[in-house]
Amino acid sequence: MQLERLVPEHIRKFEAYIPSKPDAELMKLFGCSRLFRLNNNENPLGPPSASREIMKKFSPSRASLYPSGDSYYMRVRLAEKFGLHPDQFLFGNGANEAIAFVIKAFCQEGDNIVTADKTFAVYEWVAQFSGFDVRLVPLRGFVFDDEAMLENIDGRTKIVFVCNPNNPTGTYWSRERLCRFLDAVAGRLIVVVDEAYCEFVEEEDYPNAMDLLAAYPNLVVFRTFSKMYGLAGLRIGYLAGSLEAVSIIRRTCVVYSVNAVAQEAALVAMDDEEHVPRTRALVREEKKFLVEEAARLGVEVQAGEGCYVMMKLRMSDTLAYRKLMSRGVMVRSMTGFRFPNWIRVSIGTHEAMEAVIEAIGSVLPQGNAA
Amino acid sequence: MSLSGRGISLKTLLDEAFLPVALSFTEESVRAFGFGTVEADRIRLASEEIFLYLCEIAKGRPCEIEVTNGAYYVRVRFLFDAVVFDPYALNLTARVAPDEQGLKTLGLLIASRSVDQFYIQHSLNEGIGFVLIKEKGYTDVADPAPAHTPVALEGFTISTPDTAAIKRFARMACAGYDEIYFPSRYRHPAKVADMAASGDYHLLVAAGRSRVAAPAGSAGRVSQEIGGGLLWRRVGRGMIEFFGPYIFDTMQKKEIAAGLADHFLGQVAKTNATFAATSYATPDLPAGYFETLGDIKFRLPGAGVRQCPFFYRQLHEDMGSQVWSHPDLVPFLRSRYDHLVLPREILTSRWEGEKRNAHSVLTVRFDRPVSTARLRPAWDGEDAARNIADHVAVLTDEGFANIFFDLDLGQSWQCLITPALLENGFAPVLLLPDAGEGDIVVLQLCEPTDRKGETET
Repeated sequence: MQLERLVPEHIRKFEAYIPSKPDAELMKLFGCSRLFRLNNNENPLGPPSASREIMKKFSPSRASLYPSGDSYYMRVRLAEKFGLHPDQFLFGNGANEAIAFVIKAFCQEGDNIVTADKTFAVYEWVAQFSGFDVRLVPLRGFVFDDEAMLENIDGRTKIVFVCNPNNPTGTYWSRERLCRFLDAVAGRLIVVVDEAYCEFVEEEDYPNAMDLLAAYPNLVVFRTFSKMYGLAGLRIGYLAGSLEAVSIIRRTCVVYSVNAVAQEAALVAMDDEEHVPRTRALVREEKKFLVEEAARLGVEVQAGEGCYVMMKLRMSDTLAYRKLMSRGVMVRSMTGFRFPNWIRVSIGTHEAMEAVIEAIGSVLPQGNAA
Repeated sequence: MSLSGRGISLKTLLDEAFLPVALSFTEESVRAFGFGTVEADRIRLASEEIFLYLCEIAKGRPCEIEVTNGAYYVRVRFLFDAVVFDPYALNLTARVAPDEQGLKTLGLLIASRSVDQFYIQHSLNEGIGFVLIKEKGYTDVADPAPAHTPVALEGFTISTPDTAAIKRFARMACAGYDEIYFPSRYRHPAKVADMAASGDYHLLVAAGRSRVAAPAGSAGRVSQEIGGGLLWRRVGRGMIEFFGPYIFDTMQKKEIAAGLADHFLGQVAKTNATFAATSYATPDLPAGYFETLGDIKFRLPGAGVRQCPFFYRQLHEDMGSQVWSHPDLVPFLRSRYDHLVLPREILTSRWEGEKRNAHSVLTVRFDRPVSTARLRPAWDGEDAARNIADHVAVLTDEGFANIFFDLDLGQSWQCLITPALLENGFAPVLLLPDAGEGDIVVLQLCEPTDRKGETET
């Protein structure tokens, strides 16, 4: 069969995302005896202790039963926490699924979305493989360019995606800037504010977009339990918005996609009062170490908020990736983020940070200093 | 007959009675797409040879003829099914008479002589067929603007140029770079514009205001100067081939070169290509962006031998993989993989007396303007060594100065052909990571004088 002939044009050009192989396979191929995974911005402390208990005590017999189809208790708990209605929340198998819900709910043929050129890739991917135009606005000094984004909006723009703080640059819009942008949009289209890393931000002017939902019915906020709460392996994230917006998005939402362990582990994770400060302290300390050591190596660094930093190497980042892998350190090469020759390093334990600095120092070409 | 945006196709039967129909279709389609008499006549000639050859090997079977307008070229494909005929007939040498005259009168060779490119397609996705490509003829038109003046920009932005800027860029590159950097196929500005319009080629230019004020009375002079540019095209499934960067600015060479590289990589990073490579890098290729793959000795008739360095860069993280190799190629592969720090587990395989097809099948791709023929195996067979020798004899007799053979390390059966290649004077010269089902090893037919001591250990 000539299956290629059946494939729509926009899918033919599309590149499948290939996730990395399991550690054991990678270690065998790269010939390393240990591997520090610093490519996915995972929490080095893992999940909160209460969530660990849930996982330990989960009865195998419950695996034969469907979970709550719409994460009922999670939505009730979040409603209490944020002073909203439970129907203002929708859960997905990770926040990535929520991106697809929103795009499917609002876009049709000929529509477009607007986002930055150098940000979390999934907004662009989902829109593209769904057949919608993507308008990519260059960052200005590593920051989302609000004015240029507004200029790119037209009558067919349905959604604007703002990653706040931005992955991978760590920059963010203040509350004042976000409100100014929302005011300029004036409810004409959906504004998604992705707050996947919000719990890591300690700056006072950083906005909590949940507080803005009442004032802006076209605002949709994404949150995840994969980063701060260390539940990436269980895949659970959610969106919040006005009752009207969420009731529309619910039509495209896949139910039963969040498993029972994930729902219960996430429910108790939010109540752990020590987990967030402990993680913040580790990230703060190790980020400072990493930035100082990078400076000592003469490497340019872009370190903002979030549990990651970017480094510019005077070599191909895909070559650096292979060389670092052969030394047991896995980072994210940034060509795919349109940052050629940059890598992104997730903040990990001190042992991991020492390993990454040692490995970078050993692979840098002579004269890497910027 | 059906017609789509850029193409038109005809379904017919492989029977001499339909030859006039097929020829009228190809010739008139070429004319209807706006090409001239020369192109139409050449396509007609080549089509006649192909159609008659197909009638010989698959008489009575259905055949689809597609004519595609590529703006700067026209492509004709003869697609057919392989149900009833021996695939051996796909070999260029399948109808070779045992005498020297036989070589010169081969239908497929005659067809190839009339066009710029000819190849035998053997693809799971697109089927089996013969493909002819004839490029449009372009005449040079004098440009009123100076072809190449040193430029000094105040600042620059990088963007996709419009047609006028493409032609201006091409003229400046022509004037500033000789053919080892800016190849002959790009030396007609209108052709470069058509290449971009076709969607096959992509360009970026760095443009800005000149530091030097325009002389009085130069009202017609462009307000934006071009300080540099870079172009690229897609080759096969996973490769982006790029050319440049061509830098005309005298003050910001490094900044423009790095800017062009960054923008180029940004544009191709999210495509399904796995790597970008070039054998036409200029001295301004920014340091640190690309890795060296190796050199190829490239011969151009009357122009001597050019040592051609290849630069390369992966566009995605390499997750590692297994590759298949004959033991004789392992030393070459080990040295390449070590140099490139590529995680590969080499699995070896060789023929150990098991049952084998009687006949091998090789496909060939001609690129006459650069005197190059590229062979690929489509089918292994006991006669591989003889078949390769026959192909080499035909291609050498035809005057091809560069004969390459691509082995795909993702397909274990291709290991079996290695001894036949080495026996016939081919030697591995280049490794292209992830260029096929797996990595591709390019072997080159060496001149007898080159063969001694050329195998890497």
